[in-house]
Amino acid sequence: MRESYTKIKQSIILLFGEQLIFNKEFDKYFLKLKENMMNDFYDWLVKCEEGEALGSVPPRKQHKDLFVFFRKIGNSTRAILIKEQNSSFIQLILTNHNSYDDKRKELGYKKSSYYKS
Amino acid sequence: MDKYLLKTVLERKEDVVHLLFTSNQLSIIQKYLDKQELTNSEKKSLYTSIKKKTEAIKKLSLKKNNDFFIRGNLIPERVEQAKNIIKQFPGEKVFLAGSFLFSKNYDDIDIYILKERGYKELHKGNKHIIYLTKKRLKQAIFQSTILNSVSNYDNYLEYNFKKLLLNELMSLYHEAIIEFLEKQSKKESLRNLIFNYYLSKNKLIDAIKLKQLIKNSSLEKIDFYFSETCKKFYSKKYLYVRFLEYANTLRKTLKNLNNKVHIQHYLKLYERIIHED
Repeated sequence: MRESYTKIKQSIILLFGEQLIFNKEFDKYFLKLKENMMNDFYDWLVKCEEGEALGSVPPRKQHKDLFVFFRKIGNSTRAILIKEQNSSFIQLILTNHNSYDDKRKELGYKKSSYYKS
Repeated sequence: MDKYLLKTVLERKEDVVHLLFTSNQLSIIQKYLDKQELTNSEKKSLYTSIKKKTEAIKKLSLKKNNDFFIRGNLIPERVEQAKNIIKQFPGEKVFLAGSFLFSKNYDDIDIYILKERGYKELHKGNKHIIYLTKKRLKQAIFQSTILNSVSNYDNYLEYNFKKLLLNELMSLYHEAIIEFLEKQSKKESLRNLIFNYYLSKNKLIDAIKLKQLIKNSSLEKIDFYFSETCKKFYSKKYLYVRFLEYANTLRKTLKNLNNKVHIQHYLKLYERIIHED
């Protein structure tokens, strides 16, 4: 598992470049994923990079220069990928519901419909 | 007063209810639900005879054998299973809700347990146990789940509703469109958008109706839910300013995307609302 994790993480850096920032808990949540989930997650990242995945511009005007992609992985893991419009991908977050909701709120999105929200 | 029960009374006034309520009492119920001002004599009628009758109906219709309260159109075998599960929590205020009670296929069994403070969720096998306070139970989302539930106490409460910020409503709409276009299996944002649309109409809808509405949704319907909810909650002027600004951002974004079908769709709707008289 750790082998495929290292391989996929390296591929992510190659895909988006060294400027990409991972959240602190990225490794913890990434290692919790099953191998097929890791591969699906990577396929989604490739689609985001190719401009094929559907993302959105945050509705809050101070973040209008960003383009954000959200992804639900299983029941408990959530991913957020943030890109600067006309520029590169800057942040990849893999986390639980609580931090996901905090980040969504910061960007001006509705919190998820998770009960605790 | 149990507003849900009062609404049911009005919906069924043509068949059996007229035997219990006079047409004057029905019009008082209608006025009360529409939040119109009642005269003193109407108030007296509402809080004496109407209240007593509705409480009697509630006792007859809800309280089944062994003190269980059953709401909604549920699968009988699942109701029996639910009663047995509730019996495993003696001395607690417990209710079961969710697809387990009304759908052949279900993911897990949602068990809600009332407690004094805090919030906790546990997963034990296929059981999803949610500990929550009475205050949290007042949230519209929980009062909606109660509309199809089996309980060992009367779990009905007046629901609390806080309108969404325009940012939040817009993001719900964007994600509902993405979920629809990507044919995602769990359309959480669409569900949330429809739920908020009905709340804006002062209607609390249950999970069964939500499921049907999600199934029958289309891009046009999603646009409708969003635009109507916006118009209900926000002034024309505010929407004009915010949508004009956001539409300009979207136009710039369009230049950098390969897959832009969703952005074009949002833009079309925002422009339509901006140019509406």
